[in-house]
Amino acid sequence: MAAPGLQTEELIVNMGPQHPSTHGVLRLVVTIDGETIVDCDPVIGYLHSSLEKIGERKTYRQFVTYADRFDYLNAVGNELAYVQAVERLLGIEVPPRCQYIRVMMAEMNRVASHLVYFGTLGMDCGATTVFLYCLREREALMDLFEHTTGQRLLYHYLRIGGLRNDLPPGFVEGLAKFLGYFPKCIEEYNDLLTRNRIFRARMEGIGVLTAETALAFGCSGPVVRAGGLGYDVRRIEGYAVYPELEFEVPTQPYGDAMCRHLVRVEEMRQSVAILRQCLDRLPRGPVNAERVPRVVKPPPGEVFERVESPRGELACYLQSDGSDKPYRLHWRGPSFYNLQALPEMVRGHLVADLVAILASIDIVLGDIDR
Amino acid sequence: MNEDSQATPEQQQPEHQPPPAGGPQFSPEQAALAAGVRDLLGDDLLSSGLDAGGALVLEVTAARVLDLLGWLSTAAEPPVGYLSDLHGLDSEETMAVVYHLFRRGEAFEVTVKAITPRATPRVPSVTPLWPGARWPEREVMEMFGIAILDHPDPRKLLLPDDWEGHPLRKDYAYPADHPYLAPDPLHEDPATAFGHAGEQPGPEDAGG
Repeated sequence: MAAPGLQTEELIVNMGPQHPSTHGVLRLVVTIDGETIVDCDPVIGYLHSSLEKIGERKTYRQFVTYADRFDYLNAVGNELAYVQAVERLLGIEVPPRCQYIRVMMAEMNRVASHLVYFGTLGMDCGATTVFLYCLREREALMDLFEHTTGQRLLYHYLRIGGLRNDLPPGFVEGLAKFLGYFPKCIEEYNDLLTRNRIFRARMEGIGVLTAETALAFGCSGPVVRAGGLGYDVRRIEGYAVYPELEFEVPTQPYGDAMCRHLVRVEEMRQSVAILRQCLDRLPRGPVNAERVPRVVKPPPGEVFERVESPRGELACYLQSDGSDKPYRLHWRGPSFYNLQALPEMVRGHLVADLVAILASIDIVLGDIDR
Repeated sequence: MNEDSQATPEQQQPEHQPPPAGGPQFSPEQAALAAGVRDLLGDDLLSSGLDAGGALVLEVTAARVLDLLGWLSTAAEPPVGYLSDLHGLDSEETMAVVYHLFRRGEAFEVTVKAITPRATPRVPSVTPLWPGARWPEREVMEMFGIAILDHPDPRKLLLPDDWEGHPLRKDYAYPADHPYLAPDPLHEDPATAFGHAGEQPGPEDAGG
């Protein structure tokens, strides 16, 4: 880096845990040589709340509301992984209407989460306006969630064997209206950010991670799909009613930050397609399974249940000893593994790129620290 | 949930059918894989079975777990090469590290449990096979006190550096001022709980 004869030395710089672009409370210990990153060591645990230990002390029903709090931008996905794991232990099948509503809620949550990602990515790259546009549409989704569940962020809507309540009057019309205008909004964001020449110059070619390396690091979701591999748990496991729905798994070839961004943009369009199909096919019927015991005591056994969260492969491991509380509960957060690959992505890049690369992984610290 | 149904006779039926006599019902693929593992490990394969989701579960001695995982991820036909997750498990008598492996891009799962004695829990690191095992193994070390042998970076991960004890162990001693040790107001006499003398708490909310 330096001119001949000039001595340089490496410098260690702290980024976070209070840095605004660390998306929560993440500390990055960055070793730099001039403006170039030599190494990066993520320090996590600032948000650790021992939810796995809490799970061993709460009954199966009580824990649903804790499950919301892992990845707080994806509360429905967390609940889905947890209740599907318990239902698998119990051997319960939930009615089709419940399955459809669960999928709709999960996809609405995916869009809402990607909107936060889109906005904060813009902020981290210096484009502050797009954040406001994204939150405008997210607000419409939050209103639909509030209308249905009474909550705007942590819904506690899914229950073991069903749902808290059926869809309220006006929900279907409200969602149909949103789906009518939302695709135009995606184009609007793209005009503001994705097609912006400065933004593209910042994002293209940085933070490259091939699909092969990504999988070795346990990465999943858009981080793997940006490397050209259509790895999507919705397709692989085929849980809920996803096998009946038509949707594409978008991929991109190069594995850089821009590719991860483009994958998420396309995922929002695919979620809209899924939601439209759900509205067309939404069956009538009950939303709760019959014969769910009031005190949930699964037979002894274990299960590892995977779902696709907006950030990747989310899994819940449950071990039952026959009592009313889990013997062991373990959470596989996609952000935990995705963040682990950050040092691989940033070595050799400039310090300013670190912020953009971090934003392109789309981490949620609640998912990492648990 | 439907409260009316809870007294019906159907309610009393066990929802889970015990496995039929003759052991778990392996699919042909699982049976072939289990046979291959038995050839490889012999007596070090402690047990094989199925979990509630139908995945193959293999319990092996910790000393041979690297051999097994290396074989599964490369030599098995077809290989089971994607490590989704690993975590610790305290089964009171023994400790274990549990590995959840999948065939890449498929739902075919193999769960491997490396069983190790509780007094001296030691499991080799699998970071030579998957670099992504680095963080979860650090978590296993701090949360369960299981020594991960040859780990490249054995620092604490989530807990503060000066934390004592291993919180996810079943015998973990809470600090004396821990909120868990305070009396639970929900289980006290309703007449005095919450400081509302004589006032009844609201209807039971079990989340149903």
